[in-house]
Amino acid sequence: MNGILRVKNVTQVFESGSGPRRDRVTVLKDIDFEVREGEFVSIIGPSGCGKSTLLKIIAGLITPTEGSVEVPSAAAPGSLPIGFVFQESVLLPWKTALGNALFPFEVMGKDTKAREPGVRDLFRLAGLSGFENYYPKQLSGGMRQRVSIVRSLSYDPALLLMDEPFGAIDAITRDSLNDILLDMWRETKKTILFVTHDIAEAVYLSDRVIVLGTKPGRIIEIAMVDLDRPRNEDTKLDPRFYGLVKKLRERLK
Amino acid sequence: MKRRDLWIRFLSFLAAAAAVAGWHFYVTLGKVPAFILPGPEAVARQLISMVRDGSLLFHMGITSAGIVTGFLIGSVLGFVLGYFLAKSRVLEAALFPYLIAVQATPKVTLIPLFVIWFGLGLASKLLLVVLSAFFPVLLNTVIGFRSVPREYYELMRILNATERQMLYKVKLPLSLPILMAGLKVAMVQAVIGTIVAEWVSGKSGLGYLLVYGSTQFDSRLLLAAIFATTLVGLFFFWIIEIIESRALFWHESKIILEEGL
Repeated sequence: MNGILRVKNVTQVFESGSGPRRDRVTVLKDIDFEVREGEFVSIIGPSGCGKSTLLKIIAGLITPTEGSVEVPSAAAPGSLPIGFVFQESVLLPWKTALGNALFPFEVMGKDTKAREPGVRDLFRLAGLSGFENYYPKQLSGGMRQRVSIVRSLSYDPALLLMDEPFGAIDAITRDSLNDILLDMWRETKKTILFVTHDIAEAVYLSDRVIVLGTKPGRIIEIAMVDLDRPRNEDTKLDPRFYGLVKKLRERLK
Repeated sequence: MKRRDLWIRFLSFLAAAAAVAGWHFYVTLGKVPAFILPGPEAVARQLISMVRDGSLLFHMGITSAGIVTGFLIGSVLGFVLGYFLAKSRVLEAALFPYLIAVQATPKVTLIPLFVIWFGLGLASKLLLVVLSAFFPVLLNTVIGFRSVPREYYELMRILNATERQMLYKVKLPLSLPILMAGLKVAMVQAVIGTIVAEWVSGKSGLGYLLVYGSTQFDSRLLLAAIFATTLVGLFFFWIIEIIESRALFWHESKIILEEGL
C-alpha cells in the first residue's frame, strides 16, 4: 500500500502529578496504519479512546511517547502540509469570513490579494458565496464551520485533519454539511482524516473506518466501506450501509 | 426606533431638570442657609466666575495631568508584567492570590505611608495613581490572555506562526474585551487616586480645591469643585469608551447594543 500518511506504532503515555505518586496513563497503544493519497478515512471510538490525541500527534502538536508519524510534505513550496479543522470554528471574530479564510496567508507573510480568487472558489464550493463579507457572529454555527473548512483548505494542504468538526452541530444541519464536505473532497481531491464519534457519519463519508477501542486506545478494527460514490440519501437506505453501521456499533460495545 | 430614542432623550433631560428644580425649591422654600447648601444658580455663578479667572481650568488641568500620567505609566507597567505572568503557569499560580489581595486593598490606604517616604510632593501623588491603575490592568491582562482558548494556539502552531504573530494577531485582539474592562476600572481608580492624593498632599488640583473649600466653609466652591471633578471623571471614562467601541466593533456586547434598541 502506498500511503502518504504513515502512522507507525504510536504509543502515547500521559503523566499526571509528580514524584512517587505520579500516574501514568497509556492513552494510545501501538497505533499503526497508513492513509493513501486522496483517501477519506474516519477514526471512530468512544470518548476517552484518544482519537483527538492521535489527530494532534499527526498534526505535530504532540510528540508521541513512542513510534513515529510520516506526514506528506507541503503540496506547494512555501505552503503548509496540514490543514486542521477543530470542533469549534476557531475563527477570528474581528475578521470577515473572507478575512478569516485568507488569514493563513497573512500569517505566512504572503500576498492575500493574490490568493483571493482561489479562496472565493472555495467559498462557492462550500455554498457560502455572498457571505464573504459577513462577520462570524452574523453566521450560523454550520456556516462558521464551513468557513473554518475553507480556511483549512485555502493553502492547499496535502492532508486535512478534522477533529469532530460537526460534533457541536444539530443533526439536520450536519447531514447537509456532510454532503458539502463530500463535494469539496471530490473537487479538491484532498486526503482527509476525519475523527467522529458518530458511526453513521463515519460510514457515510469514508472509504475506510478505523475503529479505536478504549483503555488503552488501540485499533480494534479497520473496516472498508464498500458503498458507491457519489453518496446521497439513497446510500443510507442501502442494506450494506446500515449493515456496516450495525456491525461497527456491535464492535464498539 | 427613532421615536423611542427621542423619547428616551426627553425623559433623561426631564429627570435632570426635575432634580435641579427640586434642589432650587428645597433651598428657597426651606430657607436653607447658603453655607450649608447654596442653590443651583449660586453654584453656576461660582463656576462661571472660576472659568473667567482661569482658576477652574488651572485646577482641572493639574488633576487631569495627574490622572493621565499615572494612568499611562500604571497601565503600561501592568500590561507588560501581566503578559509575562500569563506566560508562566507556575509563576501565575504562585502570585495570583497575592495580586487579588493587593487589588482588594484600597490603594488610598497607602498614601499616609507614601507621605512619610516621599513627602507631600508630586512623587507621592504619582505613585498612588500609578498603583491605582497598575493592578486592574495587570489582573485583567493575566485573565484576558488566559481566556484565549487552546485551539487558537494550536491553529497558530499548525500555521507555523511566530510568538509575535500569536501575540499581535490573536492573543491581544481576542482578549481585548477583558483588557478594555481592566482599563476602565484603572481609569476610575486613577481619578479617585488623583483626587485623594491632592486631598492629602496637594497644593493645587481639584482635590486640593475640595479640601480648601471645606476648611473655608465654602459650600459653593465645594459644589463647583465636585461638579468639575465629575466632568473630568466622565471625560476620561468617555475617552476609554470611544477607544473601546472602535476597537471592539466586532464584540458581542456591542452587537447586542446595536440590535437591542
